Amino acid sequence: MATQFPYTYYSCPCINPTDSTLPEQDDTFDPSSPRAAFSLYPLEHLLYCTECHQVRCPRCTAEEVVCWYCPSCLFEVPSSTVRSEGNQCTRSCYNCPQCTAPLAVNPLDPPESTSETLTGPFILTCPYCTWSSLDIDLKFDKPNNITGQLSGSKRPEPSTPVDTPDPDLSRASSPKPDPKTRDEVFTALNAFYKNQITHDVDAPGHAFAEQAFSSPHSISRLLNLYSTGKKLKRQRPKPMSEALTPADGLVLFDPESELDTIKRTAAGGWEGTLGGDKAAINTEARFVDDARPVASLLRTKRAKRCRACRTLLSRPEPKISTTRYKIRVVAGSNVPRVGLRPLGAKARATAVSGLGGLGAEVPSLKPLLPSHFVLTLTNPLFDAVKVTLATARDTTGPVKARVTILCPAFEVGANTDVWDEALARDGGGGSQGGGGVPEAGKVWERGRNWVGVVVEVVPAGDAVRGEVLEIAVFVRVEYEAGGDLDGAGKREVGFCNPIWSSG
Amino acid sequence: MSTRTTASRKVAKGEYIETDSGNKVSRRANISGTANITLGGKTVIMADVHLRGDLTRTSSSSSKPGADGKPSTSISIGRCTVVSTGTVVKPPMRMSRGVFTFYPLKIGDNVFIGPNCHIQAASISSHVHIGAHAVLQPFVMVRENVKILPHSVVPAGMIIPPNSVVAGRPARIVGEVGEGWGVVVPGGGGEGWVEGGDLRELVRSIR
Ligand SMILES: [Zn+2]
Ligand SMILES: [Zn+2]
Ligand SMILES: [Zn+2]
Ligand SMILES: [Zn+2]
Repeated sequence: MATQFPYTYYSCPCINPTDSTLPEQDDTFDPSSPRAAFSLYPLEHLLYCTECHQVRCPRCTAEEVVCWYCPSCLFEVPSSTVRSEGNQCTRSCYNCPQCTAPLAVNPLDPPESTSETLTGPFILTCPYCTWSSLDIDLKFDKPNNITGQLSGSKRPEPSTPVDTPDPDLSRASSPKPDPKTRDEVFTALNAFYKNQITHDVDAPGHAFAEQAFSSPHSISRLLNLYSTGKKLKRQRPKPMSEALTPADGLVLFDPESELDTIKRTAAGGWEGTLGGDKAAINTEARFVDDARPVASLLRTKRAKRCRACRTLLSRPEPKISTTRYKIRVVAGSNVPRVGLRPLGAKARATAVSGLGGLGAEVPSLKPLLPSHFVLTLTNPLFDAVKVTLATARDTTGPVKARVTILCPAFEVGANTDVWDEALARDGGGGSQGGGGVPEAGKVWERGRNWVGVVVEVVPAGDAVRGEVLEIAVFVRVEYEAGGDLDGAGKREVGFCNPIWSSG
Repeated sequence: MSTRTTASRKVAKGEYIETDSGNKVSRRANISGTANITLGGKTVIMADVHLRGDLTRTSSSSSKPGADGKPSTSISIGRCTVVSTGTVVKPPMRMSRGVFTFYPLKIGDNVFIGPNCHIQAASISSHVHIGAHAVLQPFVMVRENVKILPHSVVPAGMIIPPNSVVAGRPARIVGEVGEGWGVVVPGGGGEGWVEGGDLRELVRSIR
């Protein structure tokens, strides 16, 4: 995800494997280790389990689908339809086989004046590239229910209600029989073998008349076959016949078509073939001319539970039109937020430079020269917390630097009376400190529910140019919840707080 | 609408002209058809932004915009929305039955539009964050809580469902924003706003 500098990733407790077969991890957290990448997330992607008192990342939550919907028409699709029709929109939502942009339904001949009503035939056109369904000789009678019309046009009979295409627009129709799509072959085969089974069962004298293949009877029969005790002396079931004709779903290897394919590839070159990602969404097509529009894939709204204790962490409203949640416990309102900015740069300047995202205000580190940054911790809890910070003296990763937190232990006030501070802040009365020279053991600045401390960074002499320095900061939060059920608690959160280095 | 009258007391030589409802419009912004543009309050229009309010809906009978004397809204922008430098906001246009027609463009609250974007969407809902250099082609509809990554080109007519992250040329849905999208704990150190959250703090910091 394109993130602005400086960014902060928060580590989920799953970063420390509980698997005892793995070698014991030492406490130093290495943000550049391959394992770390799976447990570091931006704060907005983390939930919080109030039972386990721990941050829960997408790896540590179990998901349940609340509803399915089409991202293009935003209609909900019942799960029964999803099961029968597959994970795609059955209305008129299609994506371009060339570039994935959503296709628009347009009349082939746009009416000249406002008086004319829209008449067919209609085509699917891509608003982004030049693809249109005319490229594959597809036209539609009606502008709606494209899926229904498309499945109709897939039938081998050419006498579909689709209009006869203009001779100059249509491709020279191939003399070979209509190749069936993979879906059609599957349907035919499926029907054929289902039929075989029922025939088999209906056959007189069949030993296991009421069985289906996956029934317990089949299993008992299999078990009987392998049991050594008694030999089965029963009438053998009639052997099933295999698919023999194309109507059964048999697809024969056709050397002609293979030759044809080779010729087309030789003539058309790479341009004529579908590239990797396009072929992935259009599994049946090899050439550009064969690519069919792709039905929009459905998306879901999902509820999330803690994997450890099954507590519901988030549950969205099932309606598509609303983005509200019934339950949502995000990490952001339970663990302190960490920010970093260069010392001297005003908070506001950072905010505004973040706007541009141009990197103009990104601090650059000079080898062997100490740079100072302000690490801010914002407390979202309604109780004051004691915070202890720790960091490895030398960073790992591409940029080597010595990092010192000048004031590693302090208290952060409770998150109360939001509006008092909001009103006070305009006059600059919200914070104290923030002047003078950074001093060891002293909090740099302090607000109602936040504290800023100075971090000194000295890059090594051989610091790599244009690389990003990531600082792992270990944050330990102690809080006393007076009268609360939880009592006093301690929480530990690891953070990773990178800054830029241009050497 | 809350009115912040503190602005009128300010020295009038800043970068921004602040209106009674707290909108901050850069003196270097380029705004055409002011009568057809509404700003919801506490909204920032930065320098070199071009708002094409002059492109209003034209009916087949009257070719002049607002010929009936009543100006029709062509661009409406909600509250606490930030339009960054160099962005062009233009109502979408369609050639329909031989006539060019402009349709109104609606932008919601707490929308952040990065620098040098080209916006011709039909609507952008609230809590949307658009990265720099993004292009929203005509009649794009962006629903709530969407993040559009920088340099994306959202193809014409695309509907971006709520809570999604889109990127690419053409843009496609590449992920979902987290449950914590836009959730921010008010605090210090200029951290009073996040992408997709309430942009009041950000608007306040721009001056
Ligand atoms: Zn985890
Ligand atoms: Zn759909
Ligand atoms: Zn396309
Ligand atoms: Zn739990």
